[in-house]
Amino acid sequence: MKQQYNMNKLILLVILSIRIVDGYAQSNSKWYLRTSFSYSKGSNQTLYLFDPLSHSEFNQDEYATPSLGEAILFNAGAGYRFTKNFAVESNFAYLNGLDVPLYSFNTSNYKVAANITNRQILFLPTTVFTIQLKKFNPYVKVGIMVPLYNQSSMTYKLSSSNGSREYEYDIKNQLNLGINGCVGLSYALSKHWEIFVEAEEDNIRSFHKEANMTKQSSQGNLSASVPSSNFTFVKQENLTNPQPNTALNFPISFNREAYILGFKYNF
Amino acid sequence: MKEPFKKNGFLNFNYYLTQNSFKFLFLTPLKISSMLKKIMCILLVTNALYSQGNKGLYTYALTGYKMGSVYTSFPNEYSVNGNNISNAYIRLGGGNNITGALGYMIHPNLGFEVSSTYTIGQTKKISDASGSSSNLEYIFKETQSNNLHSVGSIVAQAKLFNMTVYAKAGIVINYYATTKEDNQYRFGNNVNQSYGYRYQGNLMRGFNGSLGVLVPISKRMNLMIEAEEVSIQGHFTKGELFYNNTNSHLPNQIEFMGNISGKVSSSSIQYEKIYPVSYSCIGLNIGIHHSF
Repeated sequence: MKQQYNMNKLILLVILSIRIVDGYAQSNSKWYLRTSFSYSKGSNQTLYLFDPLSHSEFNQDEYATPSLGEAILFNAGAGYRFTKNFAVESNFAYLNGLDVPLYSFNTSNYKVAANITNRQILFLPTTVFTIQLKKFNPYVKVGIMVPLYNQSSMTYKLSSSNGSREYEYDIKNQLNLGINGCVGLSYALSKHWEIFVEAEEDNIRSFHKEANMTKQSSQGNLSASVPSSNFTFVKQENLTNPQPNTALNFPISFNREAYILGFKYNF
Repeated sequence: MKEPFKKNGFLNFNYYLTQNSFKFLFLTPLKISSMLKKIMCILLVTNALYSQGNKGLYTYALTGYKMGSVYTSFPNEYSVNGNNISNAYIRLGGGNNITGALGYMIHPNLGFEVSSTYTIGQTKKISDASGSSSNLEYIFKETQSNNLHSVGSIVAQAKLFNMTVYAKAGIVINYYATTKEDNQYRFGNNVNQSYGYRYQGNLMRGFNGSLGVLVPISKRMNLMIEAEEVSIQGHFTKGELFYNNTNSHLPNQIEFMGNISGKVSSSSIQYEKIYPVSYSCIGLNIGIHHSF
C-alpha cells in the first residue's frame, strides 16, 4: 500500500514538473526584444529599362528582367503581447543588397554590362499571431513595410579588346509602402530566451527618381560616348522630346522571399 | 443523445478528465494527500479551460474588391514615337473576386486551409494616344484580366474581446490567367476600327498574406472581414486574335518565347519576347464563416 502511495506521488511530481517546464516556455512577460539575420532572394522580376547610353541594341535580343530582391538583412525590434496569442511588433531592418546582374549585350564596338546593388532601411510594424504549444511556438505575422531609405548603386561597364570603361551611379528610389507576411517557429531555450526561424515574403515596389555618377575609370583606349553624369527619371508622357539628362521612369519590384534566423528575449 | 465528451466525432479528453476529475480524485480507492488532490484538480480544470476553442472543420465564402498592387510593364508601349502615350505600365490584378475555402483548426489557435479565388478583372487603360500619323489616330488600348488561383495557408488566430482575429500566410498557385486587350483607332474619315487579342498566362506561383476578424453571429456562424495581399507573377505564353474590325490582316496568334532570335514571324503567327506579368493585388473581402 505504501509502495502504491509513493508511486502516486511520483506520478503527480512528474505532472507538476511538466507544468513547470511548460511555464518556462510561456513567459508571462508582455514585452520582448528580438533580433535576426536573414538572406533573401528576389521573388519577382522587373522589366529593367535604364541604359545610360541608350544603345539601340539594348533589349533587342532579350528584355532585361532581373530579380532585384537578393539581399542580406539585419533586423532588430521589440514586441508587446496583448494576449497570450496576439502581439504587435515594431522592427527596424537594414537591407544590404547583393550584386545583381541587370543586363549584358553586345554592340558593334564593345560589350555593355550593368550590375546593381540596393540598400534599404525599413520600419516594420507587424501583427503577430502566436500559438503557444509547449516549448515550440508556431506563429504567423502580417505587417506593413515603411521604407525610410532606399538607394541603389549601379555599375555600368563598357569593354572591348581595346580597353574598358566603368561608371558608377548612385540612384535614389521612391519611398513606397510595402506589405509583408511571414510564418515562423520559435523554441524556448530558457525562461527568457527563444530562438526562431521564419520564412517571409516582402512585397515592396518603387521607381528610380534620379541617378548621379559617383565614380568613373578607364583602361586602354576604348572608343565610346560618355554617358551623362546625372539623370532624372520622368514619366513617359513627359519624354516626347527626350533630353540627355532624362531617362524613362519604370516600375521596379524589390519583392523577395527571406529566410530568417533570430533570437528573442522575453522580459 | 450526443456524448458530451465527444467533439467533432473525436474524444475530447480534456473535457472527459474535467467531468470525471471529482470521481477520479475523491472516489478513487487510492490514498492521496488532500494537498495533492487539490493541486491535481486545479491542473485538470485549467488544462480543460486552456484547450477550449474553435478546433475542427470550417468553411467560408468571401467576396470583395481588389486593387492591383504591382505594375506590369508592356515593353511594346515604351517606344517614344511622338505620340502622347500616357501609360506603358499598369496594375493588372485588380477587380471583383469570389472565394471559397475549407479549413481545419488542429489547435484553438492554429489551422490549415485551402481556398480558391476567381477574380473578374477591371478594365485598365494601357495607353492613350492623341497624336496622329497620316490620317490614323490611335484612340486607346485597354486590358481586362481574369484569373483563378488557389492558396494553401497556415492560419493563426487569437481571441480578442468577443471576436477572433487571425492572420494567414500561404503559397498561391495561379492556374488560369487571361488578359484581354482592346485596341481602337480612328481614321481621318471618322471611321473607327478595332481589334482585340486575348493573352493567356503560364502557371504562376506566388504568396498570400491575410489579416482578418471573425465577428460571431451565432454559435457556428461568423461574419468574416479580411484584408489580403496576393503576390503572383509569371508571363504570357500565347495570344489569340479574337476580333478584327480593321481592313488590315493581323496574325491570328502571338507566341511568347524566352529567346526569339532566329524565329521568323509569319502572317498567321507572330513571335514576341516574354516579359514579367504580375497579377498581384491587395483586397478587402467580406463573407460568412461556418464552423462544423
